[in-house]
Amino acid sequence: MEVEYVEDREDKIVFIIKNVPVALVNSIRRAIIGHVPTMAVDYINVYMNTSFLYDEMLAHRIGLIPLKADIDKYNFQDKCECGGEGCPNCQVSLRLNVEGPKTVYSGDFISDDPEVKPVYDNIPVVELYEGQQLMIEAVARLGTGKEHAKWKPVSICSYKIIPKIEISDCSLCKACVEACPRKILEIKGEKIVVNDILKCSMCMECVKVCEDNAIKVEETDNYLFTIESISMPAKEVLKRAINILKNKAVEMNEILKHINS
Amino acid sequence: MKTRVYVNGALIGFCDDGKKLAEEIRELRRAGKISGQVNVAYYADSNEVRINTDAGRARRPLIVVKNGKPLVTEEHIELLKKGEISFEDLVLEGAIEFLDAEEEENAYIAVYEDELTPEHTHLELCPSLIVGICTGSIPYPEHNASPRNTMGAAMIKQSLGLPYSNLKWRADTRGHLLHYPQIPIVTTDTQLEIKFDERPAGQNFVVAVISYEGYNIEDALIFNKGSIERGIGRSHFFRTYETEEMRYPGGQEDRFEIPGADISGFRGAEAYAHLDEDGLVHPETEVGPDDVLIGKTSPPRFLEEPSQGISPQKRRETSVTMRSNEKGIVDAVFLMQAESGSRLAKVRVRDLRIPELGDKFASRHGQKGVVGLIVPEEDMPFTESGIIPDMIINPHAIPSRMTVGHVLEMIGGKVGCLEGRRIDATIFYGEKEKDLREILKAYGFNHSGKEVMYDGITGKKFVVDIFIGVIYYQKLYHMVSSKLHARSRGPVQVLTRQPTEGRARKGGLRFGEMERDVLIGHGAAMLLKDRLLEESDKVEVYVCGNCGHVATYDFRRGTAYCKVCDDDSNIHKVEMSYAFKLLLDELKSMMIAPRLILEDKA
Amino acid sequence: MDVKVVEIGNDYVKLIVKGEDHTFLNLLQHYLLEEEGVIIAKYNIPHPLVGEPELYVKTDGTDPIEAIKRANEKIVKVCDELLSKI
Repeated sequence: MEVEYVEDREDKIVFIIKNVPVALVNSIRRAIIGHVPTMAVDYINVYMNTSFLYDEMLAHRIGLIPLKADIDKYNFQDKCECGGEGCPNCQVSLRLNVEGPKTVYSGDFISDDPEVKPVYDNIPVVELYEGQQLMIEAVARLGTGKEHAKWKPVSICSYKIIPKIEISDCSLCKACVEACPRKILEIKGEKIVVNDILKCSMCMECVKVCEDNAIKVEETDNYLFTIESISMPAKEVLKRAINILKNKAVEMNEILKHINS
Repeated sequence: MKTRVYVNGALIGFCDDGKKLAEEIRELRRAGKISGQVNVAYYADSNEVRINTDAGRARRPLIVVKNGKPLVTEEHIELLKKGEISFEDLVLEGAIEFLDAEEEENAYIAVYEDELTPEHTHLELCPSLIVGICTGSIPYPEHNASPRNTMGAAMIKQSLGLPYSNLKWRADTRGHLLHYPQIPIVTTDTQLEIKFDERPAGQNFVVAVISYEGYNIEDALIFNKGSIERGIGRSHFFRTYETEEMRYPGGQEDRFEIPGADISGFRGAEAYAHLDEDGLVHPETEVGPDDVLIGKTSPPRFLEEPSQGISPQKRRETSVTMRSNEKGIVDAVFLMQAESGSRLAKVRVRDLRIPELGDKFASRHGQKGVVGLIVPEEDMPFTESGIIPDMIINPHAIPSRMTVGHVLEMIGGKVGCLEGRRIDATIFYGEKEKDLREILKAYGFNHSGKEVMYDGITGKKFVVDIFIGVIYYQKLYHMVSSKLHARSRGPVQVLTRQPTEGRARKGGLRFGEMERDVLIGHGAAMLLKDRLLEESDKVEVYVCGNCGHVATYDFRRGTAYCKVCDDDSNIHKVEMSYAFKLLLDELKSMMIAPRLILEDKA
Repeated sequence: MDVKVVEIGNDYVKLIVKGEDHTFLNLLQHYLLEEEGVIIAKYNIPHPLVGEPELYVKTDGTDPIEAIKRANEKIVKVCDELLSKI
């Protein structure tokens, strides 16, 4: 197993992972999308809403605002000591009290816990006109992407196979060079070479067009994994996902210990 | 034989040369000597001239062609462009005329100027005007089989969207609002002309064409759960309930109020818990089935005789309640007063409808389907750039229906997204397929529109590339929550004692003639009898064996006796459907004596 | 996660694994098939909306529960190795 970073930013990592089974890469992808917890608004108390949007439309929009939070500090509401009633350990309130005319943005919310706040300040929520008022308490809690897409910690999380392209001696008709939509084949001297294997989409157009059957594109066990995260660093999302998978295996073995006896 | 002449369907006279008469009338119309609303047609085979002048005929404009040359010339076009003359001026000049369906029978219309011959009589203003508004809204319809275009045009009329901008102040009986309407990426000139962009009725979906796990068989659609959670296809349904506080002659009046316990028909104090003192429910209250929206009492019914002695009759409860299978939130309450003093109250209730299993969606090509499964995002197949389709349709929907326009729109939508512009798909002169495919290739995608996709469940690459594109889909107003209905036993009609009809009246489903044939074909006689008698309107009547008439039952004596024969010796109980007994009564009312001949059971 | 044994024998076991989905079970199935002695390893989710996932393992005579435990330990090892390389 080898890991090599192509891009390594706080909110985006692109890395090559070699010699791993596809089930592992897919399970990591699924764990990132569905099992890494984040914070999002799940319940709103509407004290006053004279805007043109209905309460339930506003609730839907506010729920989709991504929140930045230290998720280790909070419990899942159904597993909290308060028994699901709601306490500072499992939920955070964000309050909004604005009057038109103005456009209400996500940055206008004031959180009870200054560490839990919207990731982006400029998400428009609703436009208020003269005389309209909005007084809302939005209650955020921990959740996972499996429950609702608003708790998904990433915007993009996917991988692709890095293929192996073998080009044997050919008549240099350049049909493959022109057929490739990504322009990754070129002539260098007396041979056709690949100039960027990471861009290859395995569309097989070059193979279809080659009359000498000189070009072969094959699958490998090497993957190019991309993660663009929203509310926490991309590497942290990846680490949490792998730990979640690891803990599932550990938990299953614990349960099996009792069965075997 | 003289030619008959009809005006607006009435025969008014005869003439010798019908063709010449028709031509003369047309020339007079073009010259402005008779009204431009007159249309005339000459039928050579039945030797008739039909002249129509009435209102309500659909007509369309065409350029007049004489001797193979159109009467609208290049100079006209230049003046039009400069704004010095207008369309109406060309009509007054006689260069453009309006033809209705009958006169079009006599016209030989050319579509393009270069195909004009001396025999042509008219030239199309624009090929896209051959079809109407709804068909003109379909992209690439010339690539679809025509029945699919018909169905696509019909379904455009059923789509939800933004119907009007004053919907907060309107009290329509039923109304819909799509939350996030989008303008179509692939559009037509007709759609732009009718200002569809200001009131769009659908959304652009990323659609993949795969047979997936069997949940999109028979036109079902597989939806992405994450897309639904982000708001795709969300809509609101509005229903307005109304009632009038009438003033009756004689001083009596209805009253909007919370009915007291002494009102006949009182439902109990909790039923009126949502109402304010004026008897109207407050906006933003959550209401459910059978909740009272407007509390109203009415004066007692004017009866001929008092039922049990003379007692002061109580006011009746005539409140308006929610339909028994709907729920929602009260959106608005309107209270109006007429000059006569009687008041009208309207309550509008809104219900959020998130796409669920059973809701109907359709593209503009007659490709309709019902949501078959909602799949979590991680189970959906994904492309190498991480794109997850919003919806998966079944490839079996395409070949037998021959809706190639659907496939072209998917490629066009993909190109539009990549280039950040709209694609023109007007009938007969939309963007060419070849150009679209070349643009796809320039952006690094396969020119076929197919992409390498990976299975979300196992992670493996699909063996074949999958066709994925962007297409405009509409949510139609057939939603499952308006249709789901069940009944085991329930209300019956007064007249026939058969189960009521219609979901709103908790009705039964009709076991019709063809269903009856099915049971007969299987030989399931007892099941048929059960379905038609036990489950419907079975009744046991006493019949006199002597005269064959229905006998009466005397409660005091405890026996049945026949009034006709005045005899109680030969009375038998007969099982029949109440509808049959009703037939006997109806015959009796027409002075026909239906006599039943009784026999012992074999 | 909740694991219940439906059927167990010398060389096979059928489990119901409640609360899990393809995310973990597909991974477990892969590593089970790599284990020595395992002939059949398959998980099945009968319907996406109702029911619970089942796991069926058949071996050549070795203890099937031990085989599952070894596969889980392999998963832990692979995860640790990956975490160290990130």
